[in-house]
Amino acid sequence: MERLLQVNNLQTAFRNEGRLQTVVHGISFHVNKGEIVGIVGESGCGKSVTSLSIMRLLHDTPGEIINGEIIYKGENLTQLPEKQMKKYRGKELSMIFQEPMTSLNPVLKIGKQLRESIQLHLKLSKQQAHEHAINILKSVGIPRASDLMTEYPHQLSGGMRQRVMIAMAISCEPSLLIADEPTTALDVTIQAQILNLMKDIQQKSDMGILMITHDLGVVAEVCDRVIVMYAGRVVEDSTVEALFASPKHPYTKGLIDAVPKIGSGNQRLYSIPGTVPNPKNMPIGCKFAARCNDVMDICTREEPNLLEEKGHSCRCWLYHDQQKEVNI
Amino acid sequence: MWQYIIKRVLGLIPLVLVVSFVIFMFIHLIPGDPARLIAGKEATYEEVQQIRESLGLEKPLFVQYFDYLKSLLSGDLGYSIQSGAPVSELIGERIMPTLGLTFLSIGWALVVGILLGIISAVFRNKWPDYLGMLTAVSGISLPNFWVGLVLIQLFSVQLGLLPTGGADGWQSYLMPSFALGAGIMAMIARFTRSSLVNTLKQDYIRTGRAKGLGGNAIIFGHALKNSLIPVVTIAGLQFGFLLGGSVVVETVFSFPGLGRLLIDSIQIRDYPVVQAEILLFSLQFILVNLLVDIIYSFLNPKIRYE
Repeated sequence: MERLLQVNNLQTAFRNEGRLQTVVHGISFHVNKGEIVGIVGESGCGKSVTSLSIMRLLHDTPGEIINGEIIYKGENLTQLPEKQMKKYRGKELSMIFQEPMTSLNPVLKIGKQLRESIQLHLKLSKQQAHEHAINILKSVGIPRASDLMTEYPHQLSGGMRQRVMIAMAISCEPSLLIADEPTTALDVTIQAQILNLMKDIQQKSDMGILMITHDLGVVAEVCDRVIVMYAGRVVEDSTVEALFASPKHPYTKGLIDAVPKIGSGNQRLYSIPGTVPNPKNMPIGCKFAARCNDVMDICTREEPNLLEEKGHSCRCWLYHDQQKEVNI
Repeated sequence: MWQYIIKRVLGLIPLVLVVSFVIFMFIHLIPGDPARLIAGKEATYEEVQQIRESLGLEKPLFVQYFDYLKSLLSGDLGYSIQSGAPVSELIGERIMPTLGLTFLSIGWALVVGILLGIISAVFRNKWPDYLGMLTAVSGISLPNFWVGLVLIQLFSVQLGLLPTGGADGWQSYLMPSFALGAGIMAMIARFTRSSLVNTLKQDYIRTGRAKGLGGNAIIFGHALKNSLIPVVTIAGLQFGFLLGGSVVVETVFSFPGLGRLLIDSIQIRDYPVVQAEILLFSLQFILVNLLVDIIYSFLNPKIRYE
């Protein structure tokens, strides 16, 4: 399978009162062409920062990539000059954000916002870009596409706006689409529609999708592979089938147990005890140790490495003697 | 858009009526007999009676008000007590210099202020920002009469380049408009900066960057329009004040504007002139407010649809 994106040992930090505070600690993963890869984790685990790092959109946060490589189609994006990177954004890699309500500019018509990247990247005239935009809107299931072009974002519903965001993101036929919690802000019924739509688009165009989410339901629905992140680290990396059939990391098990199940009666819903550790005060050893049901002595002293067995990697001392170390 | 404007204009009619009524009452609120006040202390009873009749003061109040409205509509603002000249003529002489000075001052203040604000916001916490905001703080802190005096000293007395005062030719507008605009420019720069800094943090700006847009497209295509509402608010207010003329700057530059006419008329109790000027200022403010509202609706489509 053709490798689209390879992230190697990515470290991203924020500047906080002059000090660098690392939030993504050397994560590695890849996305192949035509594959949907999920990144799952609680808020604050670094999954959004990872996606912004790939897009190199950190300067507003203000964060910076301090180490690692982001190889897209053989090109290391971390070394690319900003001018070059601009040509990639929206054309090669594009992104959908969590908040459809605030991610569209409230004072510009939908048409203008859609045409913008089409004119910029595909070098079409205004008229051609207009027609292209209408076709894209139709392809994301918007029936009155040409009317919509002259409307403003506040005239649309949340689901409609997210469709417009998707249309905007795919308008220049990118090879990689990064979706940062694309359905979190939407109603459940609309969520399913948007997920189906994304899956449809992916199958038609064979692009790779990196799906950032906290929702295992979304992962089960659309992803081929999944990466579980905790406190800025990858703790588990496997196919979706393997992850749900035999989760390894106690954190992943906890996440799966915390999903409500039909037929579980009026049992209290499981939740993982404790909270995510504060980046200012990270424990040594395994970062999950304090919340783990299977905690051992070594867990609080030393951090385990990410070990792989038959394509299923896990960062946990429980499996250490059975597995070989992965070199990524 | 047009629908919105027509709605707003129609909505002004009651406001104008109320304002004109309050100003009409002005002459009746002066303690004592207005006719006696206008005629002066030495006037005989007959003279006072004559003034009372000519002003229609013996008629019922609401009839007087309608007479007042009628004469307003025909452009008759009464006669100056001081000179006996029609008030409309007195104001007419002064209104063009004041308008010229206002547009010049607000014009340069807007252009320079917005530009300075953009530069400061884009380079926030770097030296262009510090320089820009230093300029802004100076503009706000230096009193305009002092700026005026320094300008006269430099450009008129020392260099002999510009006239010290009056309103003859465009040269005589330069220094007063600089003195008047400096503070407004500074305010606009600060408002533009803070509003733009805030806008640049919004999600849709990140969307724009994710599309591959460059810095200029982000600032001018996406951020600026979203940032201008507070700027328009403050510029509108200042515009309204300037239209009333500035007493201090007009005095420093012996500029024949509406501000000095008002002060002079108040000092000699030339009530018809004062009354007409207050009416003029009120109407100007109402119009400026309307203008500001229309610009709002242009900047933010949501306002248009509410």
